[in-house]
Amino acid sequence: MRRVAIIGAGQTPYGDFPELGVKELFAMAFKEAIESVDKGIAPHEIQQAFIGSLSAGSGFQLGQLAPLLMGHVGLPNVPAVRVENACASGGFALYNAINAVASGQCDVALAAGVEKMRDVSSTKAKYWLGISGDTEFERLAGLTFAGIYAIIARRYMEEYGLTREQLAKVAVKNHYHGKMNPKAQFRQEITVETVLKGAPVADPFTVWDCSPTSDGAAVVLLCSEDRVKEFTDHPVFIIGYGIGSDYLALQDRDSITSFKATRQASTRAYRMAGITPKEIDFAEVHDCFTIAEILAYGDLGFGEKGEVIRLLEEGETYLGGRLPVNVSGGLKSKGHPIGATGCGQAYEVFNQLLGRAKNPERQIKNAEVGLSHNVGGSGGTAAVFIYRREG
Amino acid sequence: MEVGIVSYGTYFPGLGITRSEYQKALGNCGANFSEKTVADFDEDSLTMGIAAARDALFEGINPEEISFLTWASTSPPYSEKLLSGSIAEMLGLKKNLFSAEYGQSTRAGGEAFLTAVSLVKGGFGQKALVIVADAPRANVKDPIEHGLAAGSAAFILGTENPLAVVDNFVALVQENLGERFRKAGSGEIKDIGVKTFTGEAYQKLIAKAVTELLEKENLKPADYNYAVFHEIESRLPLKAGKKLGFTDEQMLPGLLYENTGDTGAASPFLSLAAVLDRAKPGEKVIVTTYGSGAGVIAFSLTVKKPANRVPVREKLASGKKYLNFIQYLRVKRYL
Amino acid sequence: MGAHISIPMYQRAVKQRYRLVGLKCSNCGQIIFPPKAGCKSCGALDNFTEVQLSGRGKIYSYTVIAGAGAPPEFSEEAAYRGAYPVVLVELEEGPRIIAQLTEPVPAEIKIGMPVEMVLRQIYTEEDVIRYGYKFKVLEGEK
Ligand SMILES: [Zn+2]
Repeated sequence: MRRVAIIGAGQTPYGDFPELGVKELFAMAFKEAIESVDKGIAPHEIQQAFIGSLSAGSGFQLGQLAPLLMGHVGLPNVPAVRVENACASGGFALYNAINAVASGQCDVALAAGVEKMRDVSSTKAKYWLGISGDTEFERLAGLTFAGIYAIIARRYMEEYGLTREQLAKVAVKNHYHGKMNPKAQFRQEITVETVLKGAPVADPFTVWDCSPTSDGAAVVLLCSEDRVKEFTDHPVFIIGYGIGSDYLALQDRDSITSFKATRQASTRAYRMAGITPKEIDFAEVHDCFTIAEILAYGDLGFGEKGEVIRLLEEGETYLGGRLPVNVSGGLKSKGHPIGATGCGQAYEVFNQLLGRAKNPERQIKNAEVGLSHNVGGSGGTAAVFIYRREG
Repeated sequence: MEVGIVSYGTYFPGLGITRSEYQKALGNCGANFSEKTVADFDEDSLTMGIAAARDALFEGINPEEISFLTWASTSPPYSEKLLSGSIAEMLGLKKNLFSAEYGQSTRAGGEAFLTAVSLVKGGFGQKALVIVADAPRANVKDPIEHGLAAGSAAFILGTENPLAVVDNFVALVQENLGERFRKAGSGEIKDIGVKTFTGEAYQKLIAKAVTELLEKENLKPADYNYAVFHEIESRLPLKAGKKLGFTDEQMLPGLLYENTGDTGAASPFLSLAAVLDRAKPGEKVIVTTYGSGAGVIAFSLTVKKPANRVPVREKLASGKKYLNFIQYLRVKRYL
Repeated sequence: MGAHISIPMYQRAVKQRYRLVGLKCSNCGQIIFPPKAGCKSCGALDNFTEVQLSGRGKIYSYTVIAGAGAPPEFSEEAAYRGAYPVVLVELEEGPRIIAQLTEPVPAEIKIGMPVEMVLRQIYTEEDVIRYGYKFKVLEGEK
């Protein structure tokens, strides 16, 4: 297997863009990715494309989305495939693209994610968002996605003494970060009180515990080690990566305060990278709901379960802390265009490692190793990537 | 061959409303109860019937032994669609069973009960399950709505070791217009509102049936320990019974309306259950079921052994959630 | 309609939905609900027998879905009830299942409360009532 590096990345702002369709969003991120390659890249150098998306544009089935999007940017003959693993679609697109390059199938590959969530009424959005859990038994209990994570939160609170206020601190932190990110959907600071007094969604969650529905796209360009120099002198290598899966329904899992899929994915990624969690300088983790970030701390090995609450309490995961988490604002504040999220995380890590965070106040200083973590549904799938700046 | 009740079960919804809520909201209440039961948003006669049947089957009875299933309700969830298959699946009964579903009037329970008695008596199978469940509806602006409540009872009939055996029965019909009715396609019952006329009809028909039953059995009212008169409202049953020579002592154990409201077809069977809860071996019970339009089925039983069930009155008194009028309208989907 | 569960699909699972019929793995004894083709404990792919679950268990975790957030099939219910609780129940036999909690709902739902299965309407779509399991808190047994 060959080593694989990111040579460029692009991402649309996340939010509500009534004038932009799925093709326009993809094209916007694509253009930025192409232009971000230091020494330039001709689009036709891309040999394969993997594009993550859940709704394929509008909440309705649409076949062959990936060649459609590639055709839109003038690359109809690049072999392209859509990848779907709910909220981890982008992460799994990235996984497939890395493997395509690592295995020698191609030298330059594109990984992308795109989601257009704001085109449909909230009722219809709820219909297709519901596909991502175990529809037959979870959803038909009247449970929403927020509800599933709320059940996890209640159990976590019971088992580890996590308080409602501590949970809110995840949102407060990520909004603090998101405020500095020009591409974030919500750029406002909030307080614990804001969270607690928000409109109830699913006990214990208020609307401030939940990531928004968003439009957005992200594109990552990957290259094999032997050809990196053609495109850049500042590659970011993917030194470890792993994926994991689990039963979709919470009811089928032995523990609901830990995601086995994440543990599986991160264990593989750390082993491949030959490092321990202590060597991670910063991370973008999947915080679709506040509790999800707390779970991620434990499952990514940032601390033992229960003890991870301290990371938040002592500000260690804030920008400037020992291990900044979600400096982009995370899904919570940056936005969560389902299929785009995994590649958007890679975009953030890539730019942070190269000192290209745009707004200097949000730049993490001297970071060398970053991690991104993308979860499908409520832990049915997960993908973890470890990146290192080289040169 | 003596056929009797080998087990029974009852169910009331966990919601209730007091008469004063009606008075507060509407200025008056067209029915004379102190509180009544209310089926929840997600309940209907089928779910309530299943709850009562599960309560009955709990007495160590193998659902596989049930050969007959009879169902009675004036408020089935579907106007057309067999419910027996649903019931069989919901309770795990065997599928090769004879079933009959009744619901043309509140007498439906009597029809279902006697059909089951006959089938078991005929020796065509071992055991029968009778489910009577009701949650009738009417326009909330119509006083006839005010008394409407919800409840269910289920009986397992058989020949082995019964709690009470069925001795005899009488059934009568006659033309009665304008009494409680529901036109095809409508979900709401109504009447012409002439209470003296309909009250008179009820009393006369009940009296005729009971008199005939007493003659058949060659017994006097005093020979019975309990008498259940179908509580289509609060005062008529007692009035009808007294005219026939029954005493308060015989009738009070079966009177539930005060705490339940009108449970439709289920009413006399919930009353029968309340009587069986306390009856001793050797005691005799007379039960009447009334259907508007009109008809009566009356039957008599002799108690063989104590029941040992959670008493109906205890169930009625426990852990109910009381609704205000607006909540009531929401739960009943009237809003 | 993405997550639409067709009536044939619903009907194929009525045994589970109406009365909690689970599977027991003859190889290792694991009780499985809802039924699956592979044993979660030993991986066996055959030799399962049907078992009737008791329907009794304890609240393992819970949430209360606010009216506005309900899935579309439940929007009518949410509109009428305002909000409704959903619980993850650990059954006596081991499996956990997710279902709604019915009235009377205690003022404070607590993990560990004993509950029992009841049959209720789940929702109505295409004018067909979908019946299935919910749970109620057993009183006086806390
Ligand atoms: Zn096994």
